[in-house]
Amino acid sequence: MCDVRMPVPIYVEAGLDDERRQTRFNIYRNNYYVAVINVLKERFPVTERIVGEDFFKGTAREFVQATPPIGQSNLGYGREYPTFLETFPPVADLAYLPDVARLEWARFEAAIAVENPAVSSQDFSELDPAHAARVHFKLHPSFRTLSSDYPVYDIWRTNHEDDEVRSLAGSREGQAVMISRSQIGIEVHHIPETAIAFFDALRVGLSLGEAYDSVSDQLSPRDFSNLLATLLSAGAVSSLDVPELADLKSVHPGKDHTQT
Amino acid sequence: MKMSKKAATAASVAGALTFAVANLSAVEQAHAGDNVKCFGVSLAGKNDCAAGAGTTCAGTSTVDYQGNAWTYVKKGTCENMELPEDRSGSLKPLDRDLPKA
Repeated sequence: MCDVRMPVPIYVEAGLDDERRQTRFNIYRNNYYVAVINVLKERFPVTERIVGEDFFKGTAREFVQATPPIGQSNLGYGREYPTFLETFPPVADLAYLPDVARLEWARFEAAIAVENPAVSSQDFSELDPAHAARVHFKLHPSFRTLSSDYPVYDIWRTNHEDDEVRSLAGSREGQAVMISRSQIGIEVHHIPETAIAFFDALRVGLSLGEAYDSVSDQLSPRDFSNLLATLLSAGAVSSLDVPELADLKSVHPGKDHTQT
Repeated sequence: MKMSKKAATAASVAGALTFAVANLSAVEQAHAGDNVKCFGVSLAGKNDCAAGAGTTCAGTSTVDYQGNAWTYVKKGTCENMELPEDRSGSLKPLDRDLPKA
């Protein structure tokens, strides 16, 4: 379908001569391209804005040719598009573009991730702050992180929000972002680079205290507070677990007399 | 030395988590009562979540005003929304405009 060198399939308008069969098949092929390119446009609107509509169509067409959709569902279609941009010579000057596209793909994945409740402030009501370091967080299925050598958050944000793109002259440093789905929609937050190591530590099952210890030389208590606040309010934690709580309760039964 | 580091971590985490939970509580209150799930008002592909079995999330509804897909709307506006052909929104899932099986 996508390979223009392939002959027209024999089942297309079998009664007509070859030239007319080719013409008619090309119409069908073109409609197919338009449909698939529209899927990419919806998933990468900021990338499209940065390169312009026509240019985007061109890159998308090349991508569709190189990586046509397979299977019956297009839900995963576009995952390889950021990597494709990395190898696509016409956008080689826009070194940040693949990471912007990665951010957009992460947003799309967050949007379609499994529906799963996030923890609320109520879930912490029985937790004694003295045991906070032992808490384990399970991260939400929609939670994604991305670390870039480019100011990917600033670039994405101004192209996403502003009618006129703001000047990014002051922002040259690489940026890390976290993405999650909360009650209010898909959230994208700029986070310290070190936060990624912290989240990785949580992912492999370390407690809050252990995970913070692994990054505390690079993450001040103040930044850590802000990070946890963002994590919770962005709906990025789906459950919490205090394994030793039962033991602690039995050792210090007087401690939780105010609860229940 | 080891104990003191452990104590310092415990204090940092306790402080950070207390702050984060207080912030979460404030965010919850800011949104509480603001939005309700409104069924049957989303355009195809623009729902916030739930569009039937197998496609349980945002942007997966396939029919305009699909009855089992919802979108967050301001409280009080859901059932009064003006929709084509005498449709109205509902706080509960609807049987109308379901995708063909």
